[in-house]
Amino acid sequence: VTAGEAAGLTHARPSPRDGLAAVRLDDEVVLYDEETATLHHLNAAATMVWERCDGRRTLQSIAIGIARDTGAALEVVQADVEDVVGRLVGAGLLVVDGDDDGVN
Amino acid sequence: VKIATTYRCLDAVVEIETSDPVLAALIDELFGVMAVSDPPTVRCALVEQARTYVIAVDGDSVVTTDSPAYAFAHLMWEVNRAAIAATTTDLLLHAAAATHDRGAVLVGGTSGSGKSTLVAALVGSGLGYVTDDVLPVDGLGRVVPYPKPIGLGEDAASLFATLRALRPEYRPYMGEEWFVAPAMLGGTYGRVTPLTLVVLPRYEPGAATSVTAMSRAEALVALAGGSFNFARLGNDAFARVAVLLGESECYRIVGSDVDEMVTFVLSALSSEREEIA
Repeated sequence: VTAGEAAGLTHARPSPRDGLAAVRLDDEVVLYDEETATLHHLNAAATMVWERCDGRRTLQSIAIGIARDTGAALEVVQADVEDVVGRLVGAGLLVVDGDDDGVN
Repeated sequence: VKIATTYRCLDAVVEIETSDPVLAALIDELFGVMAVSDPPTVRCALVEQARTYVIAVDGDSVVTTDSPAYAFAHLMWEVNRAAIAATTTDLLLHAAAATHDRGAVLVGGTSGSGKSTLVAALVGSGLGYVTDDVLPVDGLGRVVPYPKPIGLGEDAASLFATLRALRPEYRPYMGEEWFVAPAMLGGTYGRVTPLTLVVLPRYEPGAATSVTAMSRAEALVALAGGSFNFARLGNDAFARVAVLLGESECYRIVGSDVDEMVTFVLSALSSEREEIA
């Protein structure tokens, strides 16, 4: 069970929490949370997920897009996306709208 | 006799007063490039009375000691503390820096990582001195020189042959920590230069030199995490570090041989790269 599955995120449409500043450097992103004065470094894989979390796409559509762009197997990408999103939600960097379909 | 001169140290104008002409000469060698005629915002004094050295800040005695070296080290600490406290606009990174005609190199890392030793060696190798510990970054993401005295541990100071020729009268003021100017290392001062290289050294006794490439995102986190005032400047500071890093190459260097680290930095700054690890 991935972190995303555990959090019931499979059909969620995550988006960045308000108040975060983001900068992309090469293929990685650094986030700054001014409220807590903390920095978060997303590696290249997490950045691919982060940049697709726009509040419109489901995790499934995010996984399909990444699988298409990278050529990786969809089932592997799906698990990774759920894991990354679960971690980012857990860290308070992504939020999932309570009205999203499929959210527990 | 009291000798007092004022120096612009970041946003502070610090008056340094002493009763010893030898110390006044040393202070002039260390701070002369920052001398100004502006009215002071803070007054620091190191006065000797019957072999007792008293450090005072704005007229209040803060340290009394019989060690001139300890007194001088504390004076340097007070001046730097006042400079950092007075600075409200520039982001202050905990880093050293030096300039080359191909760009500036930022030397980051925690206290004891070897920043000052490496930057002193770079200055001795011909790079221009910017700072050894507190690196200002302005609103446009540019490095601003803060050429404070280079603080070297006694062991590190022994690595530099030119320091053996230091005026003997200065020696009582050099103890566990030596404070030196670029000229004492055979070098000069740098100027505002775009950043092209970031290195995070870590001194490890006996270790062979090893170099690992680091992403700019990783460097941003390392530099911001060591800043003196990042949280106060918030999102603005975050943006400045990103602009500062620009297209810089970033590396971690672990080792015990400062000359090998210098060789790597010089090769990284040159067009013809020479990998050493």
